[in-house]
Amino acid sequence: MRVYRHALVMKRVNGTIALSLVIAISFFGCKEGKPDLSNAFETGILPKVFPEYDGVTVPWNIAPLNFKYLDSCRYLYVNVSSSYSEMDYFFDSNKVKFSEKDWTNFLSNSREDSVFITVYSRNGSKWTKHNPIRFYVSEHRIDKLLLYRRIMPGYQTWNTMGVYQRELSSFKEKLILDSEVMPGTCMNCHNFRDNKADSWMLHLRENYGGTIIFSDGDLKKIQTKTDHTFGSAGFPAWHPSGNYIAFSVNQVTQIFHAIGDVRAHALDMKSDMVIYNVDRNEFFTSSVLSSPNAYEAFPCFSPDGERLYFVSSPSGKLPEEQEEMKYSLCSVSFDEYKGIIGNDVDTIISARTLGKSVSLPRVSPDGKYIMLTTLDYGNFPAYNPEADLYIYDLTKRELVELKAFNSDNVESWHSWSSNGHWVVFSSRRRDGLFMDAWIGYVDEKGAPQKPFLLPQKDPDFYDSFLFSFNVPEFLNEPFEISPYQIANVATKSKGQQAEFENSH
Amino acid sequence: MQINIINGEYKVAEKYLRILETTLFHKKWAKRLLEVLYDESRIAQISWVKEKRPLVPSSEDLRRPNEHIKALNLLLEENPKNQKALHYKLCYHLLSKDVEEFAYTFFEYRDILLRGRIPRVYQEALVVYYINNPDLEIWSEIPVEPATISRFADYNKQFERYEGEGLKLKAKFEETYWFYYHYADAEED
Repeated sequence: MRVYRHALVMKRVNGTIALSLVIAISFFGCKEGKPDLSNAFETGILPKVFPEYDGVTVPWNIAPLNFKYLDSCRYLYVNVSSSYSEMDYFFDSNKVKFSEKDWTNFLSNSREDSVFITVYSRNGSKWTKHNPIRFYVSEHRIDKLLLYRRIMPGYQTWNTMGVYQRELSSFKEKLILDSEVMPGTCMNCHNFRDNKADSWMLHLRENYGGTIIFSDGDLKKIQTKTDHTFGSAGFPAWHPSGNYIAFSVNQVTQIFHAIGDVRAHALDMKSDMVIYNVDRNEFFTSSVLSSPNAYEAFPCFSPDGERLYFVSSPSGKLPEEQEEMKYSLCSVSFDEYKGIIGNDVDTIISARTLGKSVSLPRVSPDGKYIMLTTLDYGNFPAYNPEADLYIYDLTKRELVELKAFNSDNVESWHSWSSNGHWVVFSSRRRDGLFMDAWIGYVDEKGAPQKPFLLPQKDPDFYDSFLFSFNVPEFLNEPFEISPYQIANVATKSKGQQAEFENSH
Repeated sequence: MQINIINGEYKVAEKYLRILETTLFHKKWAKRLLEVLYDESRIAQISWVKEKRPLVPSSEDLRRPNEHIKALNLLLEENPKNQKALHYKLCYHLLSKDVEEFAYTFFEYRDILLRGRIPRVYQEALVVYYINNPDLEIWSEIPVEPATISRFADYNKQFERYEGEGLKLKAKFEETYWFYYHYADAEED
């Protein structure tokens, strides 16, 4: 594909027209120069493109929003403009791929402004002009990196997977750990403290199973199943101090349906919660987090570390009663200095009142909101097409649907950026099978704007990519530990056995 | 991808077909399917869709990932003539060395199974079952070939002669179910 950038015209700097600069580019044999578009036929509608960007809000430091034109065409001429400047591109294919350097400069100077992308297409001799795609550039930056696991989208196969970090201002992706480095190992539940890479953990299962923890510059492996817990610890959440990690201990199983659109569900046959003291290598819990009459799961600490949020459902006969399993949002106090869990459980959202189940509570960095997923029953939303994102205002005590983020298919595994203005979540909205990472803006009042699909360099990327993006998490600084350092710690020993402290 | 089409999950099928459309050997096949993909009446006329759709269960049942027999029973309840499901079930029992369950399934579907020649490995397993249940009236209806019976007698003789030393039996009997039953390590789920 040949790309001919015709001109970069800077119309305004600091609010005034200051400079008009034309950069001549060699056209690799293009004899046309800027085509005559004055007689272009105007369709009066938006062009059919993928991914769609019309109406979305993007951060000023996001990678180029490359896309492809879905109708038949031989050439494309694309004008990108904002109050600051404009860029013109010529493509002899249906793919629009912007120069990263130009894009970065253009977008960072177009903050708090609308950007218009006008697409002209040509099949024969005449050009067709479409209505401009318009998106808004927020002044709020997005975290530098996105970390995710790539897994196969089906239900039972997991032999090929990997955890990666992706730069959000470019298309660079770096391996954290994958099945080639550690064959036969399932890696999951990566979790960071406050979007930083200085305290993180990662579970490994099957070959070399255990939990890898990085804290205070030390990389270690532990075994989390103790004599007092019925399984290994999972679904972690770091305490903001870095001294504790809350976990669920679950007995998860998949249930397959014989009929219907939903082929499988995951459900907890048992579930309790424990807290891990990182320095002491020991777990503790309390009766409110490990009740025999309830299933507690998906912990999350408030940013001040004083409350622990989680979801809880009365226990039931499973799998027969799985549709009765509705989880409420609860919280207890937590004293980080004494390591004491409070006794009074506050039910914040009652599943009985809501008529639905809630799951995956994630508190915003300012502590004002909790984003969560609602679903008809259970607490694993990955297979539930009705799973939608909601936001709970902790001051007003109001639960509001994030309509701009939701679709007819699954939305789940959401994560806040460090400034609390961006949310990444997984959605199966494109085809019902593959989970993609979507990014959306949330304003100070908790109101969402239309989200966009994680941009890729090649607009055909999603057509041939056969993995799901699983558990996307923002990260504000690069993950510096190499895959081989992790593999070395994981394989050289079984890992330190964690203890269980009973005196709590 | 064919399963997606059978289940009417056309968007997912389209993704795989678009990839196959760029390959050398499946290009034409993928293009033909893409032309009719969202046209339900034309999809329903494709021979393998016609064949497989009636086999898809129509009543709800829940099963866990390792409940293979439950899954196969579901297919057989929907269509007792589903030969693949039946043979998968029989072989699952054989691999698990569960000869009782194998024989129970065999007798349950014997009318269907007796329409053709009984596979050698099934005959060998039935001989094992017969040893513990020689009085069942049903044996007269089960065509275990004389060659199988005489080979079993030979296996028994050799087994006693070598005092159960598997390596000595391997050359002659490695392909038999008896050898598998005695010496193979069946994998657990």
